[in-house]
Amino acid sequence: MALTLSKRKAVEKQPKPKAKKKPAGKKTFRATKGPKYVLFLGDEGAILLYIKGCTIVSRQFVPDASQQNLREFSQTIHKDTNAPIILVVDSMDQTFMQQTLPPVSSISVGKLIKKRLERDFGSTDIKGAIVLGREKTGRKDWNFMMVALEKSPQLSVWLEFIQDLPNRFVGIHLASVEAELILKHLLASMGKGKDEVAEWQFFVSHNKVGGFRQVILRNGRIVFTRLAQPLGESNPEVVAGSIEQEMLSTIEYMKRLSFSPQSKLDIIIITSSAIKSAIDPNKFNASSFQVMTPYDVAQSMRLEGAAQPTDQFGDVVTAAIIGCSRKHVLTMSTPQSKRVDQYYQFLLLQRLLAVLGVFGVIAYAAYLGHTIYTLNDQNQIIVEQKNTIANGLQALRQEIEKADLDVEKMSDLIDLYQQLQKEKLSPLPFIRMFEAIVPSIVQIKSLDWVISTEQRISRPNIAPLEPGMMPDPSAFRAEKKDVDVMVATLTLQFPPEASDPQVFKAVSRRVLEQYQAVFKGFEVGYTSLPAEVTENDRLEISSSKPIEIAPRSLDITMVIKGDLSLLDPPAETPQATQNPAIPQPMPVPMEQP
Amino acid sequence: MKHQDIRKKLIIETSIIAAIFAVIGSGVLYLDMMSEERAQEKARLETELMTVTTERQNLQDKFQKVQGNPELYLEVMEKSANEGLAISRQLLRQKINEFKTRYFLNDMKLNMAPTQEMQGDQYKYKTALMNFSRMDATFDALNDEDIYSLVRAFQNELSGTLKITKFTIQRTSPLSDESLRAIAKNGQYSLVKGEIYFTWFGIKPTESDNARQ
Repeated sequence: MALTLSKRKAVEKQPKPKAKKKPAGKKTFRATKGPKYVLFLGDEGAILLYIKGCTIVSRQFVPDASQQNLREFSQTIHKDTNAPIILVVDSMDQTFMQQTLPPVSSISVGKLIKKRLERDFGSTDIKGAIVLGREKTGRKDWNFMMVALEKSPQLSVWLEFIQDLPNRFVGIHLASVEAELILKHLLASMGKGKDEVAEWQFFVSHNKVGGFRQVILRNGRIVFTRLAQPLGESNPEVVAGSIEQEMLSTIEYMKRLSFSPQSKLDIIIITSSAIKSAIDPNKFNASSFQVMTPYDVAQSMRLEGAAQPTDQFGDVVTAAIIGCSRKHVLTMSTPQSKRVDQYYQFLLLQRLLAVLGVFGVIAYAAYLGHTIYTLNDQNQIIVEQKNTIANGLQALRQEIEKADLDVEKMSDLIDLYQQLQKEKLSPLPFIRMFEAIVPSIVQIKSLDWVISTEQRISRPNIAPLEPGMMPDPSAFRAEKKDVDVMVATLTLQFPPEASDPQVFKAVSRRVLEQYQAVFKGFEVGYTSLPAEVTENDRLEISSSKPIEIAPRSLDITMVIKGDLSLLDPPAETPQATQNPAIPQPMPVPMEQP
Repeated sequence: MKHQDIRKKLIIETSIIAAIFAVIGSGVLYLDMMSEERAQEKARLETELMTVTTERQNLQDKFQKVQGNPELYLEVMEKSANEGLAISRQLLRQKINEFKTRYFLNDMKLNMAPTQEMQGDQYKYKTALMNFSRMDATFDALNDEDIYSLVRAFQNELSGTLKITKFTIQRTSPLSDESLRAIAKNGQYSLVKGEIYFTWFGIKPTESDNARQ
């Protein structure tokens, strides 16, 4: 790349007003844990770093991929085969193409980008894309930058070398693309907030293996990058002039990308202390101008052993920042490394599942152990309870045996006998009640006493509630109940003296009233009257049936019907009938002799 | 790293993990079986406890029932011993003859259906069950009082219990000189006739009780 060097002028160092402005806002760079190897490849050589956490344990530089150099690296890498290898490339063979895609969904855009990458680049190229976001106006197209790394013979040698190593190959990062990260971490470590960052950022790193890497960022995203070959000149002023010239050319080119002199521009340069003092910041109309030595960067990022105060190049700190960063802008891979990575992810997943499974199984085993322990205790208690009750049962059996009782049989007999007693039903209590009040002048000609079972609905028995108490819903439920209903039909014969209708009427009414008073709750009435009693003189009747008129007779039929349980006669027991103290029922005279 | 190497590593790790799981799984399986065994033992013990508790409670209840009703116990014992809860046609015939003489019955006929077992769990116990038979009787008598006495005798002297469902008496002829003469001559005359329908209830031992004895 052609460079026009301007004459160096002595310039005074500009104070850094913002450097100590907000020390409290500084953020510490959080590196990934564990050891790792970072191989920084450029057109002018390669640097191998062995990093543990934030400490660079060793660094090696080789100018090319000769067998001897590769052997040296191999020996170093074989010291820790568990440490993964990260490849950072800063070569000329990089292609960047900014593209737009129609506003498809965020799920589909990946497929479209992949298709576009396959179409626009060769199959042997190592390629990837950075999604820069969507347009905020218009169709809201997707903006993305396609990145391809040509698989040059030199790169192929390095890739084969890496794949032959026992260490895991994580992927390929481009120093230019990862400049987004470097700047972000650098600004964060310097305590610069997002609001304090200019729209345009210009990052320059003077590298040993690559040259002058320039990266232009707009709103924190890469828009343009250039790599200028190293000069082969050691005079700092010449180198500084070359850097200035390159940067001015780049700024001139940036105007095509809608950059204007009025736009805010932050410039950060990583170079040696000698060049740092030779660079003139006044040549650039930048809102902030920061020249840092690799040592400054290492101190700022707290990367131990990454740089010495006399270090001239930014390769090591750049590689260390990229290698230690938890996130990356773009990770590219070869088909072989992709396959290995898939296996590795599967391995990790298997390990994770195994750990979870072991924890689960152990937890289940602990639960089972606890269950067994609890069950043992419970079983012991049950056995003790059972023994106690069995002893009690044994004692009871002995007591029963002593009493010479067949308890089983006697209990059954008692229960059944009590049920037998409930079934007992006789017309005698009714007859006794009836005959007790029958007038002496009236004779019973016939009696027909029948019991039938009827199903009746019992009324709910609702007790008065105390204040605040809720009624029991079951109390409102009506139940069907079998009821023994008695129907007694009696033919009463009145004497001839009562043949006068008025007399008959008076006597029969009195008889009816007496029976109605005795059989409360029963239907009591006449169903058949003598012929002398006309329809107009009808007495009370118990049914809606038409009254039969008996011809020339003083017989009257009375029906008493009702629930037998309402009958409340004095108890009749065998003892009672034999006990002279209890008055016997007077027999109803069927015939007066 | 070549993919063959990592694949080999994957296979080795899978084997190791499988072996670890096999060992731990065996232990867990053993614990699981032991836990299951303990749970089954608990269920068995609980069933046994329930059985023993129920048996003891039942026996105690029955014993208290027998002890708490000495009069009833004696009555049941006496009736059970003297076949006071069973019936037979011979016994019934004997009683009918006895009643006919005792209550001056001109005629008495009694029909008895075969005895049947009562349906329902409340009537069936381990050692005994309730049975019944439907019967009806017709009779002629001199006086209704004799009939009432007959009914009372039916209930008190026949074994078991009677549930009378229908009872009818009717004066068949008025008392006249002719009837008085007939009574004086023969000692019997039909002035009142009646019929009675009843269900006889009794208790009989179960087959298992017979076998037990």
